[in-house]
Amino acid sequence: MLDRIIAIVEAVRECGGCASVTELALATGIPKSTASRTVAELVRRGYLERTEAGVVIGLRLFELGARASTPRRLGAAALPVLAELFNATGEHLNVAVQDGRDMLSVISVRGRLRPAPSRAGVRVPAVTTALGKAFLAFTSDESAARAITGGLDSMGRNQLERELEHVRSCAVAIDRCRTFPGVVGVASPVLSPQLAPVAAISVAGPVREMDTERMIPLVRHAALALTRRLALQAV
Amino acid sequence: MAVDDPVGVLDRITVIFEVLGEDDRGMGVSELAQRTGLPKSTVSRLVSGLVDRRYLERDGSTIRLGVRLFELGQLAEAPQRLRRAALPMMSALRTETGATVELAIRDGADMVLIAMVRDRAPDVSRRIGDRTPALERRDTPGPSRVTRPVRVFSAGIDAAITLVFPGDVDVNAAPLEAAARAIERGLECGDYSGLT
Repeated sequence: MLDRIIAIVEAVRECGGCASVTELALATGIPKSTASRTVAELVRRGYLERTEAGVVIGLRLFELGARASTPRRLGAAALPVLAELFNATGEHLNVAVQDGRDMLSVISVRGRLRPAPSRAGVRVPAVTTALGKAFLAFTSDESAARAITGGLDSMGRNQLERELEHVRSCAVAIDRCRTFPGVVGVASPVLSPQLAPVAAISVAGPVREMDTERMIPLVRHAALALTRRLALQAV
Repeated sequence: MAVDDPVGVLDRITVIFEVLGEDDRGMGVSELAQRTGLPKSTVSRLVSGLVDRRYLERDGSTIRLGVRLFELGQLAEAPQRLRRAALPMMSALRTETGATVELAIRDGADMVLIAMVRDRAPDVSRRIGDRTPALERRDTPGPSRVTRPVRVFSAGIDAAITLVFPGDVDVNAAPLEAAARAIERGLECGDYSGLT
């Protein structure tokens, strides 16, 4: 039952945030009459809403999402850090957490890079992005690491492992146009008081114009500042 | 009530989400069972399923709302559409008045805060996702003052914008009406040009 409810809600997301009941039934493999009933129940409680265009995500999910613990905690701690980093760089900034094979942006600031898919709630693959590599280099969570590197062959894995050693030594990961053509990302991990990576913070900009070397200490400094602010919050 | 009755399961999940949403610190399964009025075994089973799917997160024995809810919430249609139309106006209002600008959407008899552009000395007790009764007078910390909410009503959206002033600033709420009308025009024509 829980599976069916979640399958329907996630199918709305996968359909780009708007879908008909028929599309939801097709996407989930749930019989249309059952899908229709489940949608009706979700609409009644505000998880979904009906519009002329189709079924969309409702206000209740916005409200619950705004109260989700990790994004809220990171958001409160990160605002002054991001303001300072933005003043220093003017580039795209993201704070992201690991989820499965992806990094999920929980705070996003738009810089000069455009167009680029940058807003809170967007996922990028952890295995190629600076955000993901900054997380992966410091995590001791093996199931998270497996989820991220599962698609690599042994050569890819060796190559990544060498890169991660370097990331561990300088606490900065770089993505040179591997994820998005023409876009360089520089990221550093944000650690819990137990030194587990809870998030990563990144600067992303156009490869031809952004001075990567200048970004490294700025991002490192921001990640340390955010780590410190989270630790103070925890007390 | 049958175990796989959809109404029953959804109601139980809803009450679990609501209780957890009221308390940032989160809580253990026993306290959650007590505060939801559900049997501990039911709570334990639903929590496990929801933690696996990251709708909840578990930190030691503490349960909190998870990142998947955040991700879905960012896609919520009405807040997303309204924010796109309103954020440029809200920034302009903030510059013009020096006040914190709040945008809330109506949900039945309540208003849910969906966006905030803060002044330099922000009221950090107010947070996105806060729910307040629509007709209740707002308490503000210290000497700050709140203007009357101005309604934004267009294209299927019922919302309101409000200014929150530090006490030592003269309240000038005049630009608020103009901003509300501009947001309504933006909603009508889907004009997102301020945020490309």
